Amino acid sequence: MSIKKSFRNFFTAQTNSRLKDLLLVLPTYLWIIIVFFIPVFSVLILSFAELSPVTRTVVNFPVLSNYAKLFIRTDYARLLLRTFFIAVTVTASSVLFAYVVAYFIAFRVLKNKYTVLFLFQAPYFATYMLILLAWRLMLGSTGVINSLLLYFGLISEPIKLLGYNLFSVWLVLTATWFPWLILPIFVSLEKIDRVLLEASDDLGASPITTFLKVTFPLSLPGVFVAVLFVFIPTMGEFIAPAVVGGRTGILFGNLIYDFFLKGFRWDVAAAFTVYLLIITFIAVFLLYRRIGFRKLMESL
Amino acid sequence: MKIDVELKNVTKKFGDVVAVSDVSFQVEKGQFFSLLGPSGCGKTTILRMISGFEKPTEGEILIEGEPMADVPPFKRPTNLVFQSLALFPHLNVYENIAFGLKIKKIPENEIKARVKEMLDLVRLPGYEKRKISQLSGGEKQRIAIVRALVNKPTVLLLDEPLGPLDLKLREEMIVELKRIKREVGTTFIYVTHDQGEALTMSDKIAVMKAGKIMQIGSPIEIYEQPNSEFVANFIGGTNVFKGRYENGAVEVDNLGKITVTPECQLSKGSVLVSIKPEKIFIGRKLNALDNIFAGEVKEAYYQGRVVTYRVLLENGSSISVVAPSPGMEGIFGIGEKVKIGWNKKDSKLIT
Repeated sequence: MSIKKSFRNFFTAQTNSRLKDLLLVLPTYLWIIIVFFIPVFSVLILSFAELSPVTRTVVNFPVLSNYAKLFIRTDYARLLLRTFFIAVTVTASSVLFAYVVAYFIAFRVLKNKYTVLFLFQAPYFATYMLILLAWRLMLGSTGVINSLLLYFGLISEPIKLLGYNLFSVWLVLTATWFPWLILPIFVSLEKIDRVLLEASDDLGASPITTFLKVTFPLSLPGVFVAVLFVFIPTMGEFIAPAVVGGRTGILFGNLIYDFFLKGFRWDVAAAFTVYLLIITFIAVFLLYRRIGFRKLMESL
Repeated sequence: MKIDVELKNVTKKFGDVVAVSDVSFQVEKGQFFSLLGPSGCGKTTILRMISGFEKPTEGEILIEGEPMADVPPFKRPTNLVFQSLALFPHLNVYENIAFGLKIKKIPENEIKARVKEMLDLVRLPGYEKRKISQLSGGEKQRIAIVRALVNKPTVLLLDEPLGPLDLKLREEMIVELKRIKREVGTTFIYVTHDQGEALTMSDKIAVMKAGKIMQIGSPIEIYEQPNSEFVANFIGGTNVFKGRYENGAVEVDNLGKITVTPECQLSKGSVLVSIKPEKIFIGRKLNALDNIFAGEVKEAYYQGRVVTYRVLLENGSSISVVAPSPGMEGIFGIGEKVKIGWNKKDSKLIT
C-alpha cells in the first residue's frame, strides 16, 4: 500500500521532475547502450588489440597492425572495393525495381492496394536461408534454369552468367531485397497529396514532367530510407556469396567471417568490421546531410 | 462582348449519381463569374470540368470558342486555384510561382521579372526565398493565386480559396481579390458556398442547387429579384408566404392581405411572396408603410451591427426581422408588443 502510494506520488509530484524525465527515457537509453554501444565498443577495442591465435589472450595493446592488414595483401583492399561496388549496384537496382512496383501499387492499383502490397511481402514468410537455397537450385551450370533451357534446346551449352559467381550474388541480393524496399517507398508515395499532381498538371506539366518535378522529389525520403535498408546490410553480407557466389563471388563479409571463425583472428576481424562501419557511417552521414535525419525517420 | 467560357447542356454523372444536370451558361471576357450553392450542388464539378480534371458525360465546354473535349488539363488555357491551395511543399515561393513558366521554357530573367511583378501584385515583395511552411494562411492564399495568375490564363478558376481562412482574413482577401481582378483584368470563375463573398465580388452569379442552375444574374438581380424560394432563402434568408394573388394584393392564410407592387403582377392564383428581413421595419408605432401588422417579439439576437428578431404576428404567422442596432426606439425585449411593416415594393412575388 505504502509502496504503491509512494510510487504514485513519485509520478505525480511536481518536484523531482528532472529525475522523473530521466527515469522515463532511461529504458530507451539502456536499450541503445545494451544492443548498440556495448557491442560496437567491444569490437572497437578488440580491433586495436593483438591476440595470440592460440590462446586468444591479448599480447599487445594498442596496435594498428590489424588495420594495416588490409593493405598488406592487395586482394583484401580490392575485396573491400568490390564489396562497395556490389553494395552500390545492388542498392541501385533493388531500389529501382522497388520504386517501379511501389509506384504501380500507389498510383495504378485502385482496389485492394494493401493486399497487393502484402503479397509482395510474402517471400519473407520463408526464411532467408530457404530463399537462398532455392536460388542455389535455380542457378549454377546444372541448375534448374540452365537445365530447362538446355532441355528445350533454347541454348546449346549452360549460360555462364547464371553460374555461381558475382553476377549471381548481385541477382540474388537484388531479388531478395527489393520486395522489402517497396514498403518505405510506397509509404512516401502514398503520402503525396494527389491534388499536388493535379496542380502540376494544371500548371502545364506533362505526366513525365509532373513525375520528375513533383512525385519523385516528394518520394525521396522513402527512397533514402530504402537506400539505407539495402546498402548497410549488403556491405556486411556474407551468406548469399557463400551460397551462390562460388569462387569469384565472395565479399568482404566472407573475409571477416573467415578471419573470425576459420582463422581465429578476432582482432583482424574486428578491425575489418570497423572499416565496414566507417563506410556505412559515411553513407548514412551523406544521406543525413542531404535531407535531414528528422525527415528520414518521419518517412518510416 | 467576347465569350471566354461557354457550357452547352453539360451533364456529369458519377455512376448513377448525377452531379451536374444539363447546365448551360456563358462567361464574358473579363467577367467575375461566381458559381454559388450549398456543398454537393455540383459547382466544384463544373470547375473541374472546365479545368479538364473531369470529362462531361454529355454536352460541350468551349473556351474562347474552342471545344475542350480532347484537351488534357496541362494543355488548357485555364489555371486553377485549388481549395487546399496545393502549393508544392518541396519548393520555395519563387519555385512555386515559376513552376508553370519554367515548363513553358520562358527565359530565366523574364521568369524572375514576372515572379517579382506577381509578388508585388499581392504585396509580398521579397518573399522569393521563403519556404511554404513558413507562410501564414493568408500569405499561402496569395501565393496560390499568383502561381496560377503568372501563367496569364484566359480564365482563372478559383475553388473556394477563402474557405479555410478566419473571418477577418477572409474579408481582407475579398478586398484583395477584387483589387487583383481589377488590375489584371483576367476572366475569373469563382466557386463558393458563401453568398457574402459571391455578392461582394461577382459581376454575375449562377445560383446552383442539386446539379442545376436555379438563377443567373447580377448580384442585385439575384438578391432583389430571386426567381425561386430556394434562391431567396439561400441568398441572405427571407420570409416566404404562400397565398393567392388578386388585384395588386396577395391573400395569405394566417396573415391577411399583403400589398405588392403592380409591376410584379402575375396571373391570378397561387403565388409565393418573399420579404427580406432587413426590408421590414419594427417599432412600437409604425405608419406610412403599405403593410403593417401587430405582433410580439419571441426571439431577439443581438449581433452587433444588427439585431435579428422573430416576431409572432397576431394572426398566427411568424416573421423574421433584421433591424439596425440600436434602432430609433432601442432594442426590443422578448415578449414586447411591437408593430412590423414594409413597403409594397419589397413584397416580391416568386414563382
